[in-house]
Amino acid sequence: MENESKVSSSFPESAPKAGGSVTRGTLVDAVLPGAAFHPDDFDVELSQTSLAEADELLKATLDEAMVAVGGTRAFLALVDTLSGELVLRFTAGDGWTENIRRLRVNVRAWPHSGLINRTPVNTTSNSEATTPPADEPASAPSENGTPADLPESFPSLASLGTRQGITRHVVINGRRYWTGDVQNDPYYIGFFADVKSEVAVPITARGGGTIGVINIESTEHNAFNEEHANLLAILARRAAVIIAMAEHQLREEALIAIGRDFNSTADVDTIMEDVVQQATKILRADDCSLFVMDEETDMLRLTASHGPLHEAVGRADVRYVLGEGLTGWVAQHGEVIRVGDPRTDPRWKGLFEEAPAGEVAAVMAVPVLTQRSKPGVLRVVRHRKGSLYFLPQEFTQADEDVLVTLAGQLAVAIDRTRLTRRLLSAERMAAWGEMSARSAHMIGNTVFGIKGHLNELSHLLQGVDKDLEAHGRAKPPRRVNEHDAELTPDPATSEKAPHQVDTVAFAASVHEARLLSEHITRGIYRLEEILGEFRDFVLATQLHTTQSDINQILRTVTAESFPKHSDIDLVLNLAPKLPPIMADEVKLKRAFSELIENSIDFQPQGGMLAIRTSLADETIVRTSGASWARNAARGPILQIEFIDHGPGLSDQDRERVFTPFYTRKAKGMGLGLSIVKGIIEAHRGIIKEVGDADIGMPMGSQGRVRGAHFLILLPADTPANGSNEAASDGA
Amino acid sequence: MGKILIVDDEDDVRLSLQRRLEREGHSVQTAGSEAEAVECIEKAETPYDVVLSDMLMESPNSGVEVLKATLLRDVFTEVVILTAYGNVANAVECMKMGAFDYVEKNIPGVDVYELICIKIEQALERRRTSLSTVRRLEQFARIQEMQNTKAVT
Repeated sequence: MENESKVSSSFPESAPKAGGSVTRGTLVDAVLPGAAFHPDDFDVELSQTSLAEADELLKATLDEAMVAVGGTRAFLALVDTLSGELVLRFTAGDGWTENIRRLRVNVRAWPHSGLINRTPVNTTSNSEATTPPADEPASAPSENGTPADLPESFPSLASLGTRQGITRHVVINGRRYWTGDVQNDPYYIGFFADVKSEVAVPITARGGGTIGVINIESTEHNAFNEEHANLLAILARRAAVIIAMAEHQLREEALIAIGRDFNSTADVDTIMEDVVQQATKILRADDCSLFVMDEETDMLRLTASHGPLHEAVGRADVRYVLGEGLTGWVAQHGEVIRVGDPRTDPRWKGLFEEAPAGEVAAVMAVPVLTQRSKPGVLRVVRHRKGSLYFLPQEFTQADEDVLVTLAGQLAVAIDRTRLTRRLLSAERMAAWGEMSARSAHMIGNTVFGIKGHLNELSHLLQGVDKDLEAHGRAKPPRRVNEHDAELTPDPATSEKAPHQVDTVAFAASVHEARLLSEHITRGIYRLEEILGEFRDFVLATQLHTTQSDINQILRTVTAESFPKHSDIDLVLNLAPKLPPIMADEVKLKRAFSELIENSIDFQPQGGMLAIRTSLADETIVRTSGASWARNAARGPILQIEFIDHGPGLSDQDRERVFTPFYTRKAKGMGLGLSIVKGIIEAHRGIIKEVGDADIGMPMGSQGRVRGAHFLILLPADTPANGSNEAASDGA
Repeated sequence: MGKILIVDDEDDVRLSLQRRLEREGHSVQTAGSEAEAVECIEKAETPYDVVLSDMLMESPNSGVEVLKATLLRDVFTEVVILTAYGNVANAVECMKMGAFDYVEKNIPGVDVYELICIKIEQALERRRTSLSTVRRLEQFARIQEMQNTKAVT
């Protein structure tokens, strides 16, 4: 563990202070309540006031304790919850050396087995004298299997090697202890030769676990009694409060500082990574993972993790279905889960864990409530630690508050990033649309002017041509080909006078010029066509919507766009009483007429075009991939189909047909169906070519149809469908 | 033939329209902006028969302003609005305010100049009709007045 070295290295730094009557390693140097976390762990600036204050108070408390019970030497030790070590924080009295301080209370320095498997079998008669009263507030954790009310045991023959030390004994049992004759005490391990008596009381956290101990020694025999222990217990409670408050303040400051950091960090991935790191530290947890809801699949995906799961971040198979396991439950219900051993919880499935199930001592998971419909999940775990079994491992209400706060800050950061991204892209799109529309307008004006000039030019040339013909001086030469007309002078005319030859050449030039002007005119007309398509494409998403009847729109558009006399049969199959939609009727008609024209173009030998409307089937909606497809609260969806008997589309075409500049026709830019798609999507709908996929073909006897089959889904205008968004989304 | 004012901020458009309409035998003047057009309309010795104005110049509503100035000068002057293709909302607004018609500039595959000439002929025709109606009404009023005077005496 990295913190181990950090903690022990803090001692030499505080060593110079040993000169006074009270020496201490400060809380700032170390951590709270043990070595749980260190201010340097946060990449944020913390005010150190609260820690310095806590140090002062604890030091004063220890001094007071020593004076109150008349001791000669004293120390205050705290549990390092990460390493499992008891660490000496403050000492009072003379004679402390670096070595003694290090060894004095170190649980790890002693045989482990004796700690766990202590079996108090030899209960002797003098146990009553040293057993604390029944009303002793502190209770030993039951986690290790040692009953809280177990009578103190005194092995009759205790060699030094098997003694565990009074301090450790107190921490493990959570009870005060005193002895008037250390030499004959079963727990005592001597560090100072002059010690005769010793009293130790546990410092108990609010949750009931022991987080430290106050120990006083005396050079007198039988220096301490129950009264002294009672006095010390009061001071130990004060120490516990001081520590709890300092920890609370530190957490609060850390949270504020982290929140400030979030606000200045634009990259949401960095923030997510930060959150799992900081949550692990602040909550004295061993690991933390973040799962974010994937909207499309409705699954929780691992997005960030502090420990071993970090490797699995982003992997497609690491995901929770909504409601699956503890994590899925949190996302589904939007509530917090706090459990000890997760295996004891019926919701637990053990799918993706930070540690093997048997090693997890506590799990806490909170929802990350973003503005999206379903929340993500932030979860922390604590591992089971053998040497720490006497400490409370389960997460507390205070821990929950911290994690909920972090999750809240994270949710804000996620929402803000999402909003910023949307705004940026919307602005970019708007700017692009504006620029395109302006350019199209200016090009249109210029083209219009050029067209006028060309008209005048060809008129002039026509006039000259007529003049020449009328005078009968020259006939326009026969052109060899359109593009490269050569003069083929009549031998008769070429022998005439020079000025007559000039006239022939002039007539030829005039004719040439007329041809060129025709070419240019054709080019200009083509340019105008492209411009028109481009403008439609640009304007496709700018809607002016009114409440409309889809059937009425289709009736109008077929009346306008479908040829009166055609070899193609038009079949209108419109379901009555469909709910209205919010539509830009002009744009929607444009889209539909494009589909009609498309169908006609591909059935030159005649055929059939069926247009039908209906309320969309639930399965079709759910598999459509539209943004509202999986929204349970949405309103009805309208379905419009265009089915023909043309050649249909190949699988390749099916994918490309809606992309701009893709066309199978010679005319235009190939924007036709991409404009249709733009218009439909601006109406918050979707369009697909489903080929002859069988989704309830209306063709009766025909059975399967091989032509094109366009399927359009449009949300009806109901509050549940968020009707107001249609226009603003498109803009 | 008519007295026509062409209003457009595009030099090429003004020039080619002027050439074409003069070729049709009209008497043509041009203005390159909404402001210039308003000045021409107010200062003309006799009102124009037809004003052909672009919609979007200094402002997206320039055509409307030209229309207002025209009708203030002579309520029987006909106004034809030129507008970008596919952007007819404002032009339709002008129609409601009394414009004769609108023409979209870049209709694919159409010789819009030909179309403009036809619209101008139609506009001139309506102006002639309107004016003759007014003249007849005035005549009628005069006759009635004369008869009234006779009846009194």
